Amino acid sequence: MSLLMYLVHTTPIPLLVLFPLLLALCVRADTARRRGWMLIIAPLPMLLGVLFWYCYGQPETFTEVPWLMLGLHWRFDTVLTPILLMSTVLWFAAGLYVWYSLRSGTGADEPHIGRYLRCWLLTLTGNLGLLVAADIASFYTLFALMTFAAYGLVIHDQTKRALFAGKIYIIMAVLGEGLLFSGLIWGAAQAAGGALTPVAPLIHELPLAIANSDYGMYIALLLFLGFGVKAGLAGLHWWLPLAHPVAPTPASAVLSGAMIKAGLVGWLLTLPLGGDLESAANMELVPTIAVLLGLIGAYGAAVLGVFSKKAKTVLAYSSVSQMGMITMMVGTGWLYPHAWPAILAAVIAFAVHHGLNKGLLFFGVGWLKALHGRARWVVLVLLLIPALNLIGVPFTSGEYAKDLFKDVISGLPVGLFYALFTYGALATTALMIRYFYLQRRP
Amino acid sequence: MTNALMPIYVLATSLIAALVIFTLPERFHKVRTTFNLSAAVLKIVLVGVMAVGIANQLDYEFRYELLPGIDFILRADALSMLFAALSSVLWLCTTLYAIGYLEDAPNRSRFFGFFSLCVASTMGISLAGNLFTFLIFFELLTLSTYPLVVHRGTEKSLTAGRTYLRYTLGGGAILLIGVALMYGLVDQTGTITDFAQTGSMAELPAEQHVLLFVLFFVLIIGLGVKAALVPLHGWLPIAMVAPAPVSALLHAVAVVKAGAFGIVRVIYDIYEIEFAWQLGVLLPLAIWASITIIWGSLMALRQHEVKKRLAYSTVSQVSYIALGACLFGPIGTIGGIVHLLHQGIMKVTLFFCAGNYAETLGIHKISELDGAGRRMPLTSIAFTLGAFGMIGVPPLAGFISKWYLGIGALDAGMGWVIGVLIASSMLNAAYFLPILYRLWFKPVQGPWPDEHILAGRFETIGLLLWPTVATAVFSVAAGLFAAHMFSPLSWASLITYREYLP
Repeated sequence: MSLLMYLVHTTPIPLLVLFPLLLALCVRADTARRRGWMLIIAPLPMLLGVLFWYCYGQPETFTEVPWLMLGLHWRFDTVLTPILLMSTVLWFAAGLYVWYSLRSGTGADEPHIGRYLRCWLLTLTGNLGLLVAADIASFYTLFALMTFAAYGLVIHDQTKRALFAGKIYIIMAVLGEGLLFSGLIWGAAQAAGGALTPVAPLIHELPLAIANSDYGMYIALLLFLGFGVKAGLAGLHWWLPLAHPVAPTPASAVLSGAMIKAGLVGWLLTLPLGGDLESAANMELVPTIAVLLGLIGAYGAAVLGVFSKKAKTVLAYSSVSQMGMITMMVGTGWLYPHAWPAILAAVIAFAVHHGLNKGLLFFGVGWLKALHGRARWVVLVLLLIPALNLIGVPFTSGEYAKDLFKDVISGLPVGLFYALFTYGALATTALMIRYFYLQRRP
Repeated sequence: MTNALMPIYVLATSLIAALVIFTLPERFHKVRTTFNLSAAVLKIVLVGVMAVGIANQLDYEFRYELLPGIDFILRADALSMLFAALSSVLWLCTTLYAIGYLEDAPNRSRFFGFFSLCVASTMGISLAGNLFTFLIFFELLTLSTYPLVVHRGTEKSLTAGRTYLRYTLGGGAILLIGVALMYGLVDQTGTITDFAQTGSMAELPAEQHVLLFVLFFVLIIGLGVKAALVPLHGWLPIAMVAPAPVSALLHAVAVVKAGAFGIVRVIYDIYEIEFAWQLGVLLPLAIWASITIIWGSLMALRQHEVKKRLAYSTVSQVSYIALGACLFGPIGTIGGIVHLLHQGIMKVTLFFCAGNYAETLGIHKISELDGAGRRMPLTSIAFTLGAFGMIGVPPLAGFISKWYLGIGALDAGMGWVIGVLIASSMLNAAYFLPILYRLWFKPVQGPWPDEHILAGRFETIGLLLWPTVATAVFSVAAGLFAAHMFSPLSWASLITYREYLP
């Protein structure tokens, strides 16, 4: 027992993060088809690490390597670990899916398996790593790694549509990186405050620095939009309904379930949210934009989604819609700093709930394609569970997450907004009906 | 007395190597290679010893009075060590590469002789202790690179050589005028033009400020030809006809960097940053550099040849150094100085890769690169790392430069520079990512244009491959271990603190 305790305390977090990266170096084109298991074991160390960390009462765990990059600082963040856990589980499940399809021979005729595995492992490294990175430089590194490596997943099929989606994806991604870089550098300059010691500040110093800065509003806007590209913010979401349907099914699952949350995590880490940042009130404009874009995303994506002809496109639009709801929540919390702690809990719960259920629905598309007869019907019925979860009918995870938020805003002077948020469920319902309609027969 | 002779020794290693190589007959290629490589290794050792000395506050100075007020000075300070280290390490890498590249080509004796002479000139530039000494080696560099540019002797390369000479000699003449005026009108005693901060320009009477303002830009125009500031950059893309190792050396350390290094010297050691700021010369130069950055990137987008695209990318990237030098404040200075080194190792990697594609598969055009990643994985990984570094993706060296330039710009109150940095990164992505896409994601289109090195144990011959891999590793390490005490970043910080906090 104490040995485990010891391991939990001393295992450097970078090892957990870099394990998939090492695996990626071992992939060879000629044997890749037999290396599907790599995708299963890649997220395992992190999964075990997080589970043990929970078992031992969430001790303060961090690794500091001052000479690496601009001073490396990685930690388990109590707020973000639920998302980390969800992401690891999802990557693990998606890895199983890939392993099975490689083993059973479906997709055995696909070329570029080696490249696929490599890109998969690199994206995985980035996605899990950015959830534990606490210094700006390594956070941005892992974010960029995830973004660029995911290109290989999007265009894997190399059909015309996939290549087009890849092009839009990479253009939007580069734009997003540019916005992000300017926001981060501006924020970091404020946090450093002209100090001579040239180290990158830790990411949790950014919110305060931004709140206290004269240009705080612009920095916050840059960061909000930069991460918004990844989070599928309305207006910056164009790549999402293109890229998610063309990627292989397990890749779409992690794209939509886990990677889309990286944008949200970026918001949570860098934006001046929370009660002790009262000066943040001078930038009401940005959170107002956030709420509005969230509303547009939540309803607009549903309208576009119900007219699309592919189940995966419907799910991609549903992701935009759900992320719109999350954006609304973040924006509300930003406007009412004293309510932020409660809203943060709701946001995290919502993110975890959406990630897992959306992942399942994406897997469902693949399963339904492979099955016939009665088995197909059984799966179809079982898929009702994640769908109802997403809609948020009583006694589901969706209801739990939404109620957390509604409890908070029922005490705030938000007027019509309460109803607007509640009726977001209608948009989800419409999308889910469309999803099942499109899959009703093989 | 070793302290005074150290700079001489360092200079002599390449100079003597050049002389010996010239005298060796063409067929003695083993002797030549051995001698050349041992000189390169010896130089790295000597530079290393001096760098340790500098870190421990030792002085290395050699002084010889030519005329009253005009001395020939060789002196090592922290800034010169940065450039000397870059040039000595890359001399070894490019020499190894050139041996592989020019295997069985004619006139190798001449080539390696001038190659060593060219490195000796950069060494002189880095160790020059005053403006006069700098000028001597600056002109020597022009003369020693010309034979390298025209090495192939074809009609095209001779034309390129003429253009090269026209530009660089013109620039040299303007620089000469600037230096003469500086000595004649401003600094008869030679204290201000000494790079050690013996005299200060700020003490000059205010009537001379207009003159100083004008002189500054005369010097910058003279240096700007080599540093490829738009519109003085015309020679650079044309000089691409030179063999790949020459382009690599020209772009990474020799000619282009000599200009950029000169600009840094003028701003920090002659005008001194604070006075330059008061004089108001920094803002115009920063705008000029920014225009060059954007314009170079835009031109790079339009090129279809690998080397041409890299050439315009150099035009853009080198101006980062000038831009960083113009940012008043330590952090911007660190960014500019460290980019001197970072750009060197990244660009040399990219040019090595371009040379590998050309030598191994006969690829010169970007459109021929389809699927080359699978045929030449290590070269392509090196290219990918170099390209991402140029874009400024962490953890590569270019990210560190951009990070410091950005924060430095904000500290100096020039927030618009961030816009320039981001726009240039976007453009870098726009012209590098399509190449990477072709390398890794496109299928091979038929046979290679001219495959004359077949894949053996490795994708190409070792002498072409390993220097490329080594410089790629350097560019990752410079970024990854940036906070380490032996990193280029730490050395640049040391230079900057000695500059700002005397």
